[in-house]
Amino acid sequence: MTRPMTSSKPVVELQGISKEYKSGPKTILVLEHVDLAIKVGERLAVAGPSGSGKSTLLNLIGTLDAPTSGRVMFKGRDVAKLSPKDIARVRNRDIGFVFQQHHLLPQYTVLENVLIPTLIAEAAPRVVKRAEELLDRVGLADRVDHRPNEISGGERQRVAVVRALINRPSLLLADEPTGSLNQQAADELARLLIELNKEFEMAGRPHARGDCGGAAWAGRVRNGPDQPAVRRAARGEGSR
Amino acid sequence: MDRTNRPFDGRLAERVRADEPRLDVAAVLRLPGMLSLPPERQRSYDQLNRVQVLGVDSEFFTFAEAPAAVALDPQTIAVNEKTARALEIKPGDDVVLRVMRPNRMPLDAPLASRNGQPAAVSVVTVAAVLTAGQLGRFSLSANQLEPYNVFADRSWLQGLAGEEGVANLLIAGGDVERGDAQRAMDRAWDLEDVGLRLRSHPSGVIQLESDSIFIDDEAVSAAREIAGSSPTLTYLVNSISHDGRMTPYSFVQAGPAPPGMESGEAVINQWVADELGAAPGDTLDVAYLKLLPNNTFVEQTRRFTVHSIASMEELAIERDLAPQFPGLSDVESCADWSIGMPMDESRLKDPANEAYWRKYGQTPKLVLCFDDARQMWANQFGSVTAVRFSGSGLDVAGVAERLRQNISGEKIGLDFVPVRELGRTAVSQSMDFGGLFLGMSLFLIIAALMLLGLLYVFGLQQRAPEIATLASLGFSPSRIRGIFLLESAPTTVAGAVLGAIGGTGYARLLLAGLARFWPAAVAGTPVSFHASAGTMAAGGGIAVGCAMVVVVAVLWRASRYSPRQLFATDFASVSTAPRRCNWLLVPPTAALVPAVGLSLGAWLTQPGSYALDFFAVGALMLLALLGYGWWLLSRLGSRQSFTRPRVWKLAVVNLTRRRGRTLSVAGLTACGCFLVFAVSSMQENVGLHASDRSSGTGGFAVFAETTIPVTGSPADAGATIRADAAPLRVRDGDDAGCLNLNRAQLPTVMSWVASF
Repeated sequence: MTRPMTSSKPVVELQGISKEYKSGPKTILVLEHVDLAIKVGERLAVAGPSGSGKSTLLNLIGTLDAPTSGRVMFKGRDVAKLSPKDIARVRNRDIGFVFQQHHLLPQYTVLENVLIPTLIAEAAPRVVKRAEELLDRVGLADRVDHRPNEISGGERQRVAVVRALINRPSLLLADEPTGSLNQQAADELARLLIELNKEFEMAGRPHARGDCGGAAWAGRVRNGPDQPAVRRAARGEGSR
Repeated sequence: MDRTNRPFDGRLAERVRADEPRLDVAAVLRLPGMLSLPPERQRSYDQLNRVQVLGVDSEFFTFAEAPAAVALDPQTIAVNEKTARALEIKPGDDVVLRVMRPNRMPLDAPLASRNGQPAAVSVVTVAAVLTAGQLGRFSLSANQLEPYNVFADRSWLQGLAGEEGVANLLIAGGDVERGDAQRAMDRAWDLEDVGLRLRSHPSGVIQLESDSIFIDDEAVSAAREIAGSSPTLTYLVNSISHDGRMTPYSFVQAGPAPPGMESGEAVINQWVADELGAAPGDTLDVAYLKLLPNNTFVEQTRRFTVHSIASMEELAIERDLAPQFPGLSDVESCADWSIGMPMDESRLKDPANEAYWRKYGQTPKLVLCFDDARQMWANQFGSVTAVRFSGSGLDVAGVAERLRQNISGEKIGLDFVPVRELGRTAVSQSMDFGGLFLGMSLFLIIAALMLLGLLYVFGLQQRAPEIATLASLGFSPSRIRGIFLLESAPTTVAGAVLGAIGGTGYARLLLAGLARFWPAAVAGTPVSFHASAGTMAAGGGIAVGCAMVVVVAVLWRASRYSPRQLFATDFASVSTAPRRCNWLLVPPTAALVPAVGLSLGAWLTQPGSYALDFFAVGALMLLALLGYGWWLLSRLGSRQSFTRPRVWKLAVVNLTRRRGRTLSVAGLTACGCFLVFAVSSMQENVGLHASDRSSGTGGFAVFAETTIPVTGSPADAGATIRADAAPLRVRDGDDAGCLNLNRAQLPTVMSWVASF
């Protein structure tokens, strides 16, 4: 078994992050002075009740939102100081995001949806081959030409996972990826995420951008603490 | 070459053509006339006045693009389409044609004949209706309005008008420069073409006379250059009186003064001396009618001292050489005299004078110095009725040739006018309504762009998650904008192309509808569609450019939101957090102040045109009110939850939810309403203030135009309609009014009287 490729260097680091929203006359503090570091090879689960700020935390990690205060450091660079172009580059090459609502583009086929991130990063046909292999890996080889409305919810989420992994990102973020799925589909997806994460590690291919060493996903916890709790999973263990 | 009231021999066209074979020349007899339906077909509005009647031959139609295969026989006419439509006539119909006989002298000129009717009438049959390509629209004026045209056989029309063989218009064309054409004319014309004639007397005197009674100044100047020439002036005075005795209506001759006679002296004939008992040294009072510039006659009197008495035999030559005055010279009795001066009928029947006339005819009763006569009787028609040439070696042919050489054809009306060139110049300087239409369309264009922006924002909001997904997948804001721009460009270009095609079709339809159903809206002006590839391409390009600017603006606005906000879809909703928004009052106030200022300024200064102020104030008010609307919606939107829910409050919440959309709809509606209001409010009711002197009518509510000049007192006309009337004399030309979009090159000239 190949040793996992871990590193003490964090891929992403949150330093004193706070996030608040204004709602009418009120200001709602969702996150307060959160410090977090995700290292290469780590798998994290963010758990908490509804409204505890899980999605907010993931959005901040994934540079989809900006903190009210604090810093988000990605590979040692302050995200706030990056230009919009650089932020886009980070999202494209270093982060893979799996949304709860998959957010596949309805006008494109399964294969095209998977290939969209590669339009910026890499040229075909090498990418097309990789996409087809990944889709085959998740059991969607015969769905490549179907549109999102022609496949099931679970299948859509699998497509979203493949899309998130196509550029071999340094960081995979999944925001309640199974939230909209039934139990069986949710279980299948969870297993898939873990397997894919292992496979990338097992492949051991050093890649400037491609080592998918980190993963974090958020899940709902009943009766949990007010603030999201981060559980670090050891390699090989899954968590929901 | 146009000599409307100075006809010439119609064979002048042939002489010009013979001199310059490259020139196409046609002679036309052009007369003003009237066309009406026969009594059995008459209805209201069954007469057309100010019809241009053209007596033509086959040469005339060679100038047409599509010459008509129509033979104009005597008693047949062709009309143009406008005339046919106006009277609802067609080939085969009978109509009544009245034409004004050419008058070499205006009817109210001194010594002009009043005998005979000024108009000739005939029933004719319509043979054809001529299109524009068949010269149906023939006109010498650079007007857009098509005249009423009637075409008749020239020979027949000459006979109807009592002017055999004459024409008063030459049209020329061909591959010839104007200078060459003019030189050909200079070589071809002779004295008779300009109404001049030479008469030889057995005494050796040669006399130059004019059909117009008074000789043109140009001809007089040319004649005076010939050695041995002397001008003469013959006039009819009201009376010659001495010592209580008077002889009425007497011919007076003025010319070279007899030796020793000075200004203020006169030679009387023996008959006058006997009739008045006058002798040399006695004073005579000569009463005469002087024509004033306002075309009225006023009797004046001047006193002369008798210098000498001439025998009737001595003055026989004067009788021979007396100019022939139609209406005077060609009647047998003084009582039949009828000329352009008011005459006392009782005096006309004076027996002694009648006897004189029968015996001595036009033998002058009085001979004056030329300068004295010119002082008294020179008028706007001239000051010389004849020029005499005496001296050895002079003959008629020689004098004629010298006169031809000395007279400038251009100054005497024998010049070719480049009507096509003048027409093109008039068009090139025409009123450009592009700016006006652009100003009025600006609000429409703004409204269209606002609608485009609204629709695009709406579509973009629906695709907000897609934008957020692309952003999450690493597409930069500029790349995302580029994708949507690429997507919008083909539809925008396609829309511009379809719009250009559709706009062309709509414009054609509109013009066709105007011409067919509402020609009065453009005062009957024929309006045709014209578009060039350049203007359509420019218009389409500008439309695409404006649309893309709107798209870019909307995209830029959307790209300011974070992916998280975009995923929320309703990102354009405004926060209900209360906030200070009074600063929002500043921009609209900054627009309102100049709007009010411009309005006040216009009201105080009363400029000639309010158009610029109107549109400027409208635009500023729109901006101001939209700005105040934004402030109001901001105030309404800053709220907490309902404590007392009401249905109308739901509407208010929805209004404030997307202020931009709310105000865009309001602005859109405002632009449309403004345009409608702008057009409908610009109508001027001319009749409402027609009696004000400050109005465009000059204070005259009604004006009347006659085809045939009207003589008589304007007070008579006014008395008939129970109003003050002022006469005007009109020289036709290009319409210089606002209905003629072209720049008038030879405008219509009207002369007025002091009381006008």
